[in-house]
Amino acid sequence: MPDYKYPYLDPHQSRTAEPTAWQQELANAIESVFAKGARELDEVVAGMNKTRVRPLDGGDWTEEKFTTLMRELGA
Amino acid sequence: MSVAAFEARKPTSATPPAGPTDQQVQQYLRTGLRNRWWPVIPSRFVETGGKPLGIMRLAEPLVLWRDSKGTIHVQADRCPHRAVPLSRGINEGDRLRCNYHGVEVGPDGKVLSVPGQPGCPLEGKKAVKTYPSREINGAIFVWFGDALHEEAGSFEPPPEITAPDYSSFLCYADWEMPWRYAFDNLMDPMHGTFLHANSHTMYQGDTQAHFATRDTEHGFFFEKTGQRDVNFDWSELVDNGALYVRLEIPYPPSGGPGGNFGITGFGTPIDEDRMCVFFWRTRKVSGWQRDTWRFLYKTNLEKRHWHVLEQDREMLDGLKPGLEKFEMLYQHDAGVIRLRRYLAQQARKQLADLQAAGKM
Repeated sequence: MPDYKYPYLDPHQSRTAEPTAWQQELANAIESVFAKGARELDEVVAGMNKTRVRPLDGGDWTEEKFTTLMRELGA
Repeated sequence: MSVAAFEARKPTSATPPAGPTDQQVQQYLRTGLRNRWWPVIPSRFVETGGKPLGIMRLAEPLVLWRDSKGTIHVQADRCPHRAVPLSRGINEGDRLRCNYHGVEVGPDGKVLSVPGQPGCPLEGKKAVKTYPSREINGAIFVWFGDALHEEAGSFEPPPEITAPDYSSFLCYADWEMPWRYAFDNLMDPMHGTFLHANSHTMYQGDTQAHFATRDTEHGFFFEKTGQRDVNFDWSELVDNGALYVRLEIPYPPSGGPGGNFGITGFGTPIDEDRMCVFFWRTRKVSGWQRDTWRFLYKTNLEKRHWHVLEQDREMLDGLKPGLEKFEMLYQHDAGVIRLRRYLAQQARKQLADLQAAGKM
């Protein structure tokens, strides 16, 4: 439970924890894939497979892996 | 009815009461409009069974506390005995106990116990003002009614912050400026192109524009004619049980699919010189697009959005009420002018009603 202290000016109000280094890399990679124009899920997954960020269990990104992970991290 | 009887019914004074002066209206508005719901603090700052929180809103000292069931209570932050803050007391789960002399107050404002003098007339008295309150999407809202409107009016929050097809995040901040400057700022989309030119979302669009106002059932739109979905191109004032502004701004491509993000913005006076803002950033997204937006928001977007708000805050920081008398406005300020006129009308009506009822 955070304490309220005036004046409250906190840039991060939605986080429950600092992102890990890997989560930060992942977010940056997703943004870069979007910036290159990917909009549909298959385009995003294809784009992610061109980045250096791998799923934590290694291997390639799949739609299932990507959406499951986003559901967890975007809760 | 005879002429004599009719004459006798006429008010004796030749001139009707003058009604509130402009100065009274403006002074009254400095601490907000009454008979509205106002958000006062994010829900997360008040813990079940935890320490009571003392804050000032609309220049009224409030104590907020959650009972052992988690229900929020909002009361005047004054012990009925010696008027010291109840927020310096103890939350006992179903009541507050003042730390000064142990006076106990229930959630309905009734004095439950005066341990220093059991049986004294204070016991059993409803001596602490209790405000209607409710929680909406992570914020505590309070009804500030005047003497004629102590019962809470209705407020249906907008779908952007309640409907399942929208996703949202609340951003809260304390700003050292009169609350009206933040509302003026929200009804002035043109500042986006200039003040926010260096930001993640407002780097495009014309630096000149024509604007038009458009009435709605509960307020009005102020919008650029001929430019949509490029920058901060429109604002909508809503006054429907609570006062707030809606607007939309496009994300750059890196924001991913899901279209513009919206802001549903409230600003609540603390006192004449300070306020707090509640900006829900909203997006109509679902499925993996929603989850991905939320992940990006928490990692990268939130601090960029924050940077934009800081540009607003720093521009207006520390300013005091009364800047209007030094202004020279032009066409882009039509939204601001209209907002001010609207607020003055509302305040004037409240004051006139109070005057008529002898409650001033």
